[in-house]
Amino acid sequence: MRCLLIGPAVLACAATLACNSSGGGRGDGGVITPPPGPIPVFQCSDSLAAPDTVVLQCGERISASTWRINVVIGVPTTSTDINGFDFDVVFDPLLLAYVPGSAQPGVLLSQGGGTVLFAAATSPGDPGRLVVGIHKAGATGVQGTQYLDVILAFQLRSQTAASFPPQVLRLENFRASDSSDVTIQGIIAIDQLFLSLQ
Amino acid sequence: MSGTLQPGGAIDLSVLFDSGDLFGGDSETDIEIASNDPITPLLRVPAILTVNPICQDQDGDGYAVCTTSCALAGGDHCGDCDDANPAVHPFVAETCNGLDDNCNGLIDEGTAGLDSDGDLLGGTCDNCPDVWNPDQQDSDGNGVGDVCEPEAICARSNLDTNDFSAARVDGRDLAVFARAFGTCPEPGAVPDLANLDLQPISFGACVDLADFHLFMSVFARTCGGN
Repeated sequence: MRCLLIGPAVLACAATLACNSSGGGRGDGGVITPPPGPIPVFQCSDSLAAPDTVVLQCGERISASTWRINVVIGVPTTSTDINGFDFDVVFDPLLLAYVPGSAQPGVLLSQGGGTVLFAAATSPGDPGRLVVGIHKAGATGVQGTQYLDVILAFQLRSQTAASFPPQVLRLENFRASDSSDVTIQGIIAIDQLFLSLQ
Repeated sequence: MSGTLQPGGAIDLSVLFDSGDLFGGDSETDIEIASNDPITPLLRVPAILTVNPICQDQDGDGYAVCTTSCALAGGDHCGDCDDANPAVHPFVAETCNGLDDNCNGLIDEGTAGLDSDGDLLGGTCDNCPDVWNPDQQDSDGNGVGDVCEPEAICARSNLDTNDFSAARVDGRDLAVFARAFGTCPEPGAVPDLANLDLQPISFGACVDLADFHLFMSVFARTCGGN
């Protein structure tokens, strides 16, 4: 009677104890364990990037709770003098978190050698905003072409074990600049990557 | 003293005192000069005796604080810069204590550790080991030099003050930094604003990895609109 009053979870517990104490439980009258529910899977979906469009793309699932995300530009680019990018990746910090130190420069700006400076960090008071900057040192730009389209890669992990529906990762404060540090108006950013746990 | 003075001649007189009991200042005295003139066998000349004060060595460390108007006592040396602290005087080893131990005008110079910022202070003692600050100024007394406080580095790193970038260190600031990266000023020229470690001379004045590390330390921080 107490179990009924307290709730089904306690009732199941009490039933287990009763069965064990009776010495049975292997066949007749044993514990009925409900089959486990489906384990939510951390999923990523995206679409192709049009030329001169910067998007986030699913890279690789590093672990059950972590995805590597690539920042890529649709190629071939119109500009042949791309020198750097600035942008913020914005997400729900209750569901997702940037893996500190996981950002790595891609191949796009490394063309032709030289030094590439990049920085990626979340603001002290805004863990859902990954501030990113990546620029070539010096005054020579590059063109995005096939296989040379990855600007940067970083990792995001799920903050929760509970399912959540597709969450779009947004690119804000975006700017592509040339070797004169002039904004390249023809290069834009589009949000098209979704992460979910379901 | 004794000697022979020719008519019309002159001679310098020096008087040696045991100066330990003398006070500085002027006093009237007479100088008696013996003469072989039978009429005036003893010539008495009034004179002013000027005695310089003793250069003080209050802390007894063998070094006095000297001025041009004091006389050094026997065994003492000049050059003390703190006559209340016997541990402070010339030629003593500089230690990491925020004092100019050896009275050479520098604080904690040459102490242990790598002097990566070129300000002559070893890293273990420097209150700002990555930024040139020989004066070690620390206004809030928190042990971190003023030019090394995160707010100060943040303000220096905020190289682009347009739009949303005005209030934070972000990619637009990195764009400005990257354009300056690897550049060095001409001798005598003012270093670039991106020279975040403030080193004024030689290779340290170039915009280099040391500056980038400082930039990275405040990246994505807000800087109060600086």
